[in-house]
Formats: sequence, structure tokens, C-alpha cells
Amino acid sequence: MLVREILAIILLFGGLFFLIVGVVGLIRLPDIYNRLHALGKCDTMGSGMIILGMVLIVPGTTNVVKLLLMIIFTLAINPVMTHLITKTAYVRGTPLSEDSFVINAYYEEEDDEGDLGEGGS
Amino acid sequence: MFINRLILKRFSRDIPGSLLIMTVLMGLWLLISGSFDWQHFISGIFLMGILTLFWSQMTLHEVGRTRFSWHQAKLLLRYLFFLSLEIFKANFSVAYIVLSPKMPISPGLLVLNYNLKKDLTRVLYANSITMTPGTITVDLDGDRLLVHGMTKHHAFGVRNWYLYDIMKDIEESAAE
Repeated sequence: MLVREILAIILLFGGLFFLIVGVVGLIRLPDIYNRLHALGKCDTMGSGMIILGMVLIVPGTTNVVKLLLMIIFTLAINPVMTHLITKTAYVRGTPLSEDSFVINAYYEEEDDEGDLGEGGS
Repeated sequence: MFINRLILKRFSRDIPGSLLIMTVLMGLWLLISGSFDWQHFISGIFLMGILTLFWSQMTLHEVGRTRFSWHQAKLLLRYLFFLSLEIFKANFSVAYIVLSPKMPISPGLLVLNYNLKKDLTRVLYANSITMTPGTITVDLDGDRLLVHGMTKHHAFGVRNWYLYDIMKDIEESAAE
């Protein structure tokens, strides 16, 4: 078996792993914002790795260029759609999950950011 | 006439920009069609001209003249390199959070201020925040940025982020 095909198989299964993680996160996490964390990130990585794996085994420059374009468009569109869904949920007043924090650090001075940063509950 | 005005606007005021758009579109056209003979060149140039004309309605209103500097391009490449590293890390941290049985999350919203003026850099920066560890841009309005973080640590990681400094550099080098 060629090294190229082994690499392609590794990339394909890695992408599959990240897509599965996205779906598991969609089921397990508590509210819409956290679910979008899992979906928006793992989908980018998963589909990117799957397309890269396909680039390695597909013949012809035309197909390779089309697949690389798909990666670029995924990278451009995915965060925009995540942001849009989150903003819509926020504007409609979808409640956050329990015991989540809301902090306004807008008027903070530059000095006291050290003690705020490590307060992970 | 309307068409006349468009032609004047696009090609006379912004020659480098028009040439840039035409070259990018031409490269795409040749790569996707996969053949490099003269028929493709001629039909390509014809179509690129039409597309560049109609492009003027989208770009010329606010941006105006296209400028290009090598310094800016180098900074942008550096930015994209570090961004891809961060995306890689983000996926592993999210996968760890999702798959660990206790799910160590403490989600919440954080309001920050940031100071980017141009639309393009703002969009790029907001999208980078969305794609990197545990944070999503919920809203950006003026110089206020509303970020949702998966844990408190992730949310405060946006403040004093090193990618923000590179983005700031890119914007300031464009102003010169």
C-alpha cells in the first residue's frame, strides 16, 4: 500500500473522529451557545481533514483545485454561520444555561486584569 | 448613462484593484477548466471584464482605491499561520471537554472592548475568535465585543490575545 493512501486513510478517520465529537457535543452540552461551540469548531476541522484526505487520493489537478476551494469556503463560511446563529439566539433572548457568568470587562483598567483571568470556577 | 459611469468608476479610478480582481478570477477560471489553450484565454478575458465591471458596485463605495504592500502581506501570512495553529489546538480542547465524562464547563458571556476600525479586519478578527479555543463572537457593535466562552479561562483568553496585536499591526501598516 502506498504511503499516500495510508496518509489519506489517517486523515479521513481523523476527520470522522472530529465530526463524531461535534455530534456528541451537540447531544451532551447544556444550551445552544455551548452546542454551537462543539458544532462550529469540530465541523471546520472534521470536514477540512476529510477533504484533505480526499485530495491525496483523487486524480487530476481540476478535482484537487475544486477540493481545496471547498476547504477555503468552509473556513470562510463556518464561523460566519456560527456567529449568525449565536447572535440570533442572543437577540431573541434565549436563556443561558444555569450557573453561567456574565461579566462586563468593558470599562476595566489595564492594571487589574491579572486577578480576573484566573478565576475559573 | 449608468453603465458608462460604472466603467469609469471601476477602471479609471482603481486600475490596480481591477487588475488584481481580473488576475484572481483568471487564475481560478484556468485552474477549474483545466485546459490552457487560446480559446479559454479569450473567453476568460471577456468574462473577467464583465465580472470586474459588476464588482464595482460591491467594492468601490467605501473602500476606494486598492493598495498593496509586501509588509502587510507578510503580516497576514504570519497571522494565518498562527490562526491555523490555534484552530488545531481549539479542536483538541473542545474534543477533550466534550468527551470527558464530567464535562468541565463554566460557560458565560463576556463584554470586552477592542479597537479595530476597518470592516475587513473586524470581520477577520471576529471570525478568528469564533474559530479558536472555546470562544464565539456573539455580537460586535462599535468598539464593544460580546464573547461567549466555554470556560472562564477560555473567555478571558480573548483579552490580550497575541493575534489581536498582529491584526492591529496589519491595520496600522495599511494606514500609512
